[in-house]
Amino acid sequence: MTAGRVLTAFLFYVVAADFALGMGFVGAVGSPVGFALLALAGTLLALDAVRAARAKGVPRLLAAARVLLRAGAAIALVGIPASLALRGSSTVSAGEGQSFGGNPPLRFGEVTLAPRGPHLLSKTVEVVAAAEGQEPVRIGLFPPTSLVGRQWSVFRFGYAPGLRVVSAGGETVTDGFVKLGTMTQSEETASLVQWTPEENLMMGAGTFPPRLEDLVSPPGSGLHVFLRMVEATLGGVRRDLRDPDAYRWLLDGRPEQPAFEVQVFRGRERVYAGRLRAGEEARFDGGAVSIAPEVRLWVDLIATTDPFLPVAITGLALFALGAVLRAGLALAALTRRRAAAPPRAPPAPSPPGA
Amino acid sequence: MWDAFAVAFRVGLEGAIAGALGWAALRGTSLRRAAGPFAIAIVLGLALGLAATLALRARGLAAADLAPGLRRIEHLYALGLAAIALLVAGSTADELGAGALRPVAVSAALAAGLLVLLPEGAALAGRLEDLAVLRGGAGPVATAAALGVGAAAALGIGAGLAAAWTGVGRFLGPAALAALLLALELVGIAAVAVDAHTLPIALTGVVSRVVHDALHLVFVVLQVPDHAFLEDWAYQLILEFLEPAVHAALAAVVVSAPLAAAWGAFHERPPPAPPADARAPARRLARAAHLRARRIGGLPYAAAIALAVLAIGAASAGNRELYDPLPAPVVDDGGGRIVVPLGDPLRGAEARMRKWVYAAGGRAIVFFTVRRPDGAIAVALDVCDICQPKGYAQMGAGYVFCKYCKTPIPIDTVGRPGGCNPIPLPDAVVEGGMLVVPREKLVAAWEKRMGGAR
Repeated sequence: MTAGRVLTAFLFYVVAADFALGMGFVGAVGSPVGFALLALAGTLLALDAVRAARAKGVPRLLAAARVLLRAGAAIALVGIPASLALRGSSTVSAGEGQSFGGNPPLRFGEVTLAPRGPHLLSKTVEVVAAAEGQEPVRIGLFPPTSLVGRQWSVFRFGYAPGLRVVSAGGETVTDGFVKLGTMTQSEETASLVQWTPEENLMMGAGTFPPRLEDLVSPPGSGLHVFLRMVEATLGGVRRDLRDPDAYRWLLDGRPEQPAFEVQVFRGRERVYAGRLRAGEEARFDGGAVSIAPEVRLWVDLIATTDPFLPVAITGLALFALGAVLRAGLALAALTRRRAAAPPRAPPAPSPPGA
Repeated sequence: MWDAFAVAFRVGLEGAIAGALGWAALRGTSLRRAAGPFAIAIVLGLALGLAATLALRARGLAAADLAPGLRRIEHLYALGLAAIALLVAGSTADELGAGALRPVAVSAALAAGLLVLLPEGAALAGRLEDLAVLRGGAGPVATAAALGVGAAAALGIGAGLAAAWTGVGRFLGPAALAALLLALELVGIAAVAVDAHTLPIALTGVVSRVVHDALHLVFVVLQVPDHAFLEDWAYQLILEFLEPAVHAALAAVVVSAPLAAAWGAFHERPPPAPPADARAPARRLARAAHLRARRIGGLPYAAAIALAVLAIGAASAGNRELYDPLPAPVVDDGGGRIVVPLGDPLRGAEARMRKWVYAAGGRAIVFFTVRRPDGAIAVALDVCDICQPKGYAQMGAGYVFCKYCKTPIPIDTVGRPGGCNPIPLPDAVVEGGMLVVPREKLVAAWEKRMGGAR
């Protein structure tokens, strides 16, 4: 039994499981039979690596390449399925300045937006995070950042304007930051306003635009406040965010001096409609609504624990190193053979008169 | 009656070719006693398929109900042939027929023979039944079909006898026979005749799913952001891996690999040891004969690989057309269920994509149905989690195509959540010819995607 044969059997198993049960590649890898075959192939490759390391009469570099190839493949074959099986992940939604209890407690700081990103990213969203007693770290889109034993990355961001509503008597009805696009609506509340048409919900398009509008219904007040950010300075340029192309500018920077279209409803009756700049207040029959000067940002983060991911990556790295070394040795051998080959004899001169 | 004759002849022709190949390969070896039964098993498989379909249809089962099972049998049979080609690579029929492996080899030959035309026979029965209805008589249709099969069988017997007479069978080992039978299945002379040729597309589909799933896994495991955040060049590079043409090329490599490995093992076979007292000229003659046999014996493998690659390429080339139907309006039944008729009693369910639009509080919720290669109906929203809601079109028989990010997605993965896949509607069920979608679940899935009540 060789690792190659076991891997061939695994491939046949994957195809058969797909044909017969529609199991799919991931299902086949994660199934007990698939996992057992991969583990067996990994074990056989590990034994091969040991044999290659102990082989006598083999040039050192060649032996090293063989060991790296076999050991890398063995580790990756075990590490990848183990990583998939034992991986755990959770999501956290955090606003600027928000803290979370736990062990240790976490505090999230400023969110940074930028139109260019490192590596293969076309843009950047980063948030500063710190665990109690540790140095703050920056969590971005990619690669994940290690914090309190988990790997963190941002997968979404959004805007959170500050909203304050007071009653005619001056009592606070609501006061806080509204994470636009996260409020749950009933059919009744949804029908109060004209939402931005779906065609203008610019997801994708090489950016990751957040929602710019939402409807807040403070409990027990009978009021509904609709906010839509319609204008802001982004990266130093004043932008009309109702423009269908607005999604292209949203990552130019934090929105400054934003303006909002605001509507207030009491029940189904609209009691106020107008435009408010950040920091302004408007009065309506029965109260007042104001927007805080600052628009905060929030991020959704994914946090994973994957103890076997470093194992899988190590295996793949060793395999790649072995492959490069083996290819280099083959190339060197080819060059040596070419250099050692006798030069070709020049063609015989044609006889005179031919 | 020409229709019945033609379709039966084409089905029979595949059996005739397989029978002639088997006869030629086994006749001159120690497995010669399996040569006749192999040919008979092919006929028996055809008869079994016909009988099984007629019996099941008499019990009220429709052809569409049988099709997924038949496809599964055909696909697993092809996989079995590839496995046999690898397992017996480098062995001769004499070696297999001499030792303890003989019963296994004979059983494998008979099973392979039985399965050559079993699925196509089952499909042929349905086709002949339809023709009998259209042409107004079962007797003439059955007679024409019997004549068609008979004509193909006569050709097969002639080819088998010619092969035995010329002795070409000695260049056809068991692995080469399995390789040629696999190629024959991929070309699908019989399957095409009965409109049941799915093997090349199914194989390409497996490769597509593996590539697609592997890419998703890399994204998930390494926490790479989705294409919305990637540089355009990076996304274009990823799209190259999702190209159906690349998948077809990979499928061709995957199918060719076991055949090439079997060819390699055949090529590496050592020459038979000459007698100890053989003189140098005799040794040289024996070696020359061995080299000649190796050259000629490689031809069946080369032919099998070429046929397999061509079959997959041709199937893929004819599988790129985009089909984007207009959504048909649907309403709920007042009891919270949206009931959608999937087809009519005569035509059965439509295999191609169909779109539906449901109006919920001023929102137009579009969802679609598409038939997977396994025959099941997949139901999903016409939108994914990542892209702008531009929706999907169907690309050929094997893919849905995101109209926004230009990503082809294997149809088999429709119904699974995540990434570029359309958002599934797992609560939608097919009841007879009706699709039933719970209104609440449909609206909830749409609202979740659109982030609220938009």
